[in-house]
Amino acid sequence: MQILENYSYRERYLAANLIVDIVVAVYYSQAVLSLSVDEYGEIGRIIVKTIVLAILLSLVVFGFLCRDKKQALDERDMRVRAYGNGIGYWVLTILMMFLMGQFLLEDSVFRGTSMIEYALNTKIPLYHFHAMLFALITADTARTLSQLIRYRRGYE
Amino acid sequence: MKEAKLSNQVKLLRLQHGDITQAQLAKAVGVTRQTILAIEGNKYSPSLELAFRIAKYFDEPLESVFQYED
Repeated sequence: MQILENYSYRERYLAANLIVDIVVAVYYSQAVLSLSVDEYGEIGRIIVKTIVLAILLSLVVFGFLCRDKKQALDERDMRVRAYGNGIGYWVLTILMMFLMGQFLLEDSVFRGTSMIEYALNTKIPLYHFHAMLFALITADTARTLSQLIRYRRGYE
Repeated sequence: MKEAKLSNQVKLLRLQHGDITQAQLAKAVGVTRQTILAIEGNKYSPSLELAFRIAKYFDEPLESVFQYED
Protein backbone atom coordinates (compact mmCIF):
# COMPACT_ATOMS: atom_id res chain seq x y z
CA MET A 1 0.00 0.00 0.00
CA GLN A 2 1.17 3.51 -0.88
CA ILE A 3 0.68 4.98 2.62
CA LEU A 4 2.91 2.32 4.22
CA GLU A 5 5.82 3.34 2.00
CA ASN A 6 5.94 6.70 3.79
CA TYR A 7 6.84 4.90 7.03
CA SER A 8 10.22 3.36 7.80
CA TYR A 9 10.50 -0.24 9.03
CA ARG A 10 11.02 0.91 12.61
CA GLU A 11 8.01 3.26 12.52
CA ARG A 12 5.82 0.45 11.21
CA TYR A 13 7.20 -1.90 13.88
CA LEU A 14 6.36 0.60 16.63
CA ALA A 15 2.89 1.24 15.16
CA ALA A 16 2.21 -2.53 15.07
CA ASN A 17 3.36 -2.80 18.68
CA LEU A 18 1.07 0.04 19.69
CA ILE A 19 -1.97 -1.43 17.89
CA VAL A 20 -1.49 -4.86 19.48
CA ASP A 21 -0.93 -3.39 22.97
CA ILE A 22 -4.02 -1.17 22.82
CA VAL A 23 -6.38 -3.81 21.39
CA VAL A 24 -5.22 -6.44 23.90
CA ALA A 25 -5.46 -3.99 26.83
CA VAL A 26 -8.98 -2.91 25.84
CA TYR A 27 -10.11 -6.54 25.41
CA TYR A 28 -8.67 -7.58 28.78
CA SER A 29 -10.07 -4.50 30.59
CA GLN A 30 -13.60 -4.92 29.36
CA ALA A 31 -13.49 -8.67 30.14
CA VAL A 32 -12.28 -8.04 33.71
CA LEU A 33 -14.67 -5.15 34.35
CA SER A 34 -17.59 -7.39 33.44
CA LEU A 35 -16.69 -9.75 36.33
CA SER A 36 -17.74 -9.38 39.94
CA VAL A 37 -15.38 -9.74 42.93
CA ASP A 38 -16.40 -13.34 43.67
CA GLU A 39 -15.63 -14.50 40.10
CA TYR A 40 -11.87 -14.83 40.70
CA GLY A 41 -11.80 -18.18 38.93
CA GLU A 42 -12.68 -16.55 35.64
CA ILE A 43 -9.51 -14.42 35.62
CA GLY A 44 -7.38 -17.41 34.57
CA ARG A 45 -9.62 -18.10 31.60
CA ILE A 46 -9.56 -14.42 30.57
CA ILE A 47 -5.74 -14.37 30.76
CA VAL A 48 -5.47 -17.43 28.51
CA LYS A 49 -7.92 -15.91 26.00
CA THR A 50 -5.97 -12.63 26.09
CA ILE A 51 -2.66 -14.41 25.41
CA VAL A 52 -4.20 -16.27 22.45
CA LEU A 53 -5.64 -12.98 21.12
CA ALA A 54 -2.24 -11.25 21.52
CA ILE A 55 -0.46 -14.03 19.57
CA LEU A 56 -3.01 -14.11 16.73
CA LEU A 57 -3.23 -10.33 16.49
CA SER A 58 0.58 -10.02 16.50
CA LEU A 59 0.83 -12.52 13.62
CA VAL A 60 -1.70 -10.53 11.57
CA VAL A 61 -0.56 -6.98 12.39
CA PHE A 62 3.20 -7.60 12.28
CA GLY A 63 2.73 -9.78 9.19
CA PHE A 64 0.93 -6.94 7.45
CA LEU A 65 3.03 -3.96 8.61
CA CYS A 66 6.51 -5.47 8.95
CA ARG A 67 6.87 -7.76 5.94
CA ASP A 68 10.18 -6.42 4.66
CA LYS A 69 13.64 -7.31 5.95
CA LYS A 70 14.39 -6.29 9.53
CA GLN A 71 16.71 -3.25 9.81
CA ALA A 72 19.58 -3.21 12.28
CA LEU A 73 19.47 -0.43 14.89
CA ASP A 74 21.77 2.52 14.25
CA GLU A 75 22.85 5.36 16.58
CA ARG A 76 19.73 7.43 15.89
CA ASP A 77 17.48 4.45 16.66
CA MET A 78 19.33 3.95 19.94
CA ARG A 79 18.79 7.60 20.87
CA VAL A 80 15.08 7.41 20.04
CA ARG A 81 14.86 4.21 22.08
CA ALA A 82 16.61 5.84 25.05
CA TYR A 83 14.28 8.86 24.80
CA GLY A 84 11.22 6.56 24.79
CA ASN A 85 12.56 4.54 27.72
CA GLY A 86 13.02 7.79 29.66
CA ILE A 87 9.41 8.83 29.01
CA GLY A 88 8.13 5.34 29.90
CA TYR A 89 10.13 5.31 33.14
CA TRP A 90 8.85 8.77 34.07
CA VAL A 91 5.20 7.74 33.49
CA LEU A 92 5.69 4.49 35.43
CA THR A 93 7.27 6.34 38.37
CA ILE A 94 4.41 8.86 38.56
CA LEU A 95 1.76 6.13 38.40
CA MET A 96 3.56 3.95 40.97
CA MET A 97 3.87 6.89 43.39
CA PHE A 98 0.16 7.56 42.94
CA LEU A 99 -0.70 3.90 43.58
CA MET A 100 1.58 3.74 46.64
CA GLY A 101 -0.28 6.74 48.00
CA GLN A 102 -3.57 4.98 47.37
CA PHE A 103 -2.34 1.79 49.08
CA LEU A 104 -1.22 3.88 52.04
CA LEU A 105 -4.57 5.60 52.30
CA GLU A 106 -6.27 2.23 52.33
CA ASP A 107 -4.69 1.36 55.70
CA SER A 108 -4.40 4.82 57.22
CA VAL A 109 -6.52 7.11 59.31
CA PHE A 110 -8.00 8.32 56.03
CA ARG A 111 -9.59 4.93 55.50
CA GLY A 112 -12.55 5.20 53.19
CA THR A 113 -11.16 8.04 51.08
CA SER A 114 -8.94 6.14 48.62
CA MET A 115 -9.77 5.02 45.10
CA ILE A 116 -9.05 1.46 46.24
CA GLU A 117 -11.93 1.58 48.72
CA TYR A 118 -14.10 2.90 45.95
CA ALA A 119 -12.96 0.15 43.56
CA LEU A 120 -13.57 -2.55 46.15
CA ASN A 121 -17.03 -1.18 46.79
CA THR A 122 -17.77 -1.24 43.07
CA LYS A 123 -16.44 -4.81 42.92
CA ILE A 124 -13.41 -4.80 40.59
CA PRO A 125 -11.70 -8.19 41.14
CA LEU A 126 -7.98 -8.23 42.14
CA TYR A 127 -7.91 -4.45 42.21
CA HIS A 128 -4.31 -4.08 43.41
CA PHE A 129 -3.01 -6.38 40.67
CA HIS A 130 -5.04 -4.62 37.99
CA ALA A 131 -4.03 -1.16 39.17
CA MET A 132 -0.35 -2.11 38.79
CA LEU A 133 -1.01 -3.81 35.44
CA PHE A 134 -2.70 -0.62 34.24
CA ALA A 135 0.38 1.39 35.29
CA LEU A 136 2.70 -0.96 33.35
CA ILE A 137 0.53 -0.88 30.21
CA THR A 138 0.21 2.92 30.35
CA ALA A 139 3.98 3.33 30.74
CA ASP A 140 4.67 0.95 27.85
CA THR A 141 2.14 2.76 25.64
CA ALA A 142 3.72 6.13 26.51
CA ARG A 143 7.16 4.71 25.66
CA THR A 144 6.09 3.36 22.26
CA LEU A 145 4.01 6.43 21.38
CA SER A 146 6.83 8.85 22.28
CA GLN A 147 9.27 6.87 20.09
CA LEU A 148 6.82 6.91 17.19
CA ILE A 149 6.28 10.67 17.52
CA ARG A 150 10.05 11.21 17.74
CA TYR A 151 10.56 9.27 14.50
CA ARG A 152 7.72 11.05 12.68
CA ARG A 153 9.09 14.45 13.65
CA GLY A 154 12.44 13.38 12.29
CA TYR A 155 14.67 14.34 15.19
CA GLU A 156 17.24 12.36 17.10
CA MET B 1 22.29 30.63 26.05
CA LYS B 2 21.75 31.08 22.33
CA GLU B 3 20.97 27.83 20.49
CA ALA B 4 23.82 26.57 18.30
CA LYS B 5 23.11 24.88 15.00
CA LEU B 6 24.92 22.24 13.02
CA SER B 7 24.57 22.45 9.26
CA ASN B 8 26.04 20.16 6.61
CA GLN B 9 26.81 19.68 2.94
CA VAL B 10 25.96 15.97 2.77
CA LYS B 11 23.28 16.32 0.11
CA LEU B 12 25.50 18.53 -2.04
CA LEU B 13 28.43 16.11 -1.71
CA ARG B 14 26.23 13.17 -2.67
CA LEU B 15 25.24 14.94 -5.85
CA GLN B 16 28.84 15.96 -6.59
CA HIS B 17 30.08 12.39 -6.11
CA GLY B 18 28.09 10.86 -8.94
CA ASP B 19 24.60 11.22 -7.57
CA ILE B 20 25.04 8.66 -4.80
CA THR B 21 21.69 7.70 -3.25
CA GLN B 22 20.89 8.10 0.43
CA ALA B 23 20.60 4.32 0.67
CA GLN B 24 24.11 3.82 -0.79
CA LEU B 25 25.64 6.36 1.58
CA ALA B 26 23.72 4.89 4.51
CA LYS B 27 25.02 1.40 3.75
CA ALA B 28 28.59 2.66 3.33
CA VAL B 29 28.65 4.43 6.70
CA GLY B 30 26.56 1.82 8.56
CA VAL B 31 23.30 3.62 9.34
CA THR B 32 19.72 3.56 8.02
CA ARG B 33 18.53 5.68 5.08
CA GLN B 34 16.23 7.56 7.48
CA THR B 35 19.24 8.70 9.50
CA ILE B 36 20.90 10.17 6.37
CA LEU B 37 17.58 11.85 5.52
CA ALA B 38 17.38 13.35 9.04
CA ILE B 39 21.02 14.54 8.87
CA GLU B 40 20.48 16.21 5.49
CA GLY B 41 17.37 17.94 6.82
CA ASN B 42 19.38 19.21 9.84
CA LYS B 43 16.98 17.36 12.10
CA TYR B 44 19.57 15.07 13.59
CA SER B 45 23.11 15.83 14.72
CA PRO B 46 25.26 12.74 14.14
CA SER B 47 27.79 11.44 16.62
CA LEU B 48 31.40 12.51 16.09
CA GLU B 49 32.24 9.01 14.88
CA LEU B 50 29.48 9.01 12.24
CA ALA B 51 30.42 12.54 11.15
CA PHE B 52 34.01 11.36 10.58
CA ARG B 53 32.82 8.28 8.69
CA ILE B 54 30.72 10.45 6.35
CA ALA B 55 33.58 12.90 5.79
CA LYS B 56 35.99 10.01 5.13
CA TYR B 57 33.55 8.46 2.66
CA PHE B 58 33.57 11.68 0.61
CA ASP B 59 37.33 12.11 1.21
CA GLU B 60 36.77 15.60 2.57
CA PRO B 61 37.90 17.27 5.83
CA LEU B 62 35.24 17.20 8.54
CA GLU B 63 34.76 20.98 8.56
CA SER B 64 33.87 21.07 4.87
CA VAL B 65 31.09 18.52 5.46
CA PHE B 66 29.73 19.78 8.80
CA GLN B 67 29.63 23.40 9.97
CA TYR B 68 28.91 24.66 13.44
CA GLU B 69 27.08 27.99 13.55
CA ASP B 70 27.09 29.87 16.83
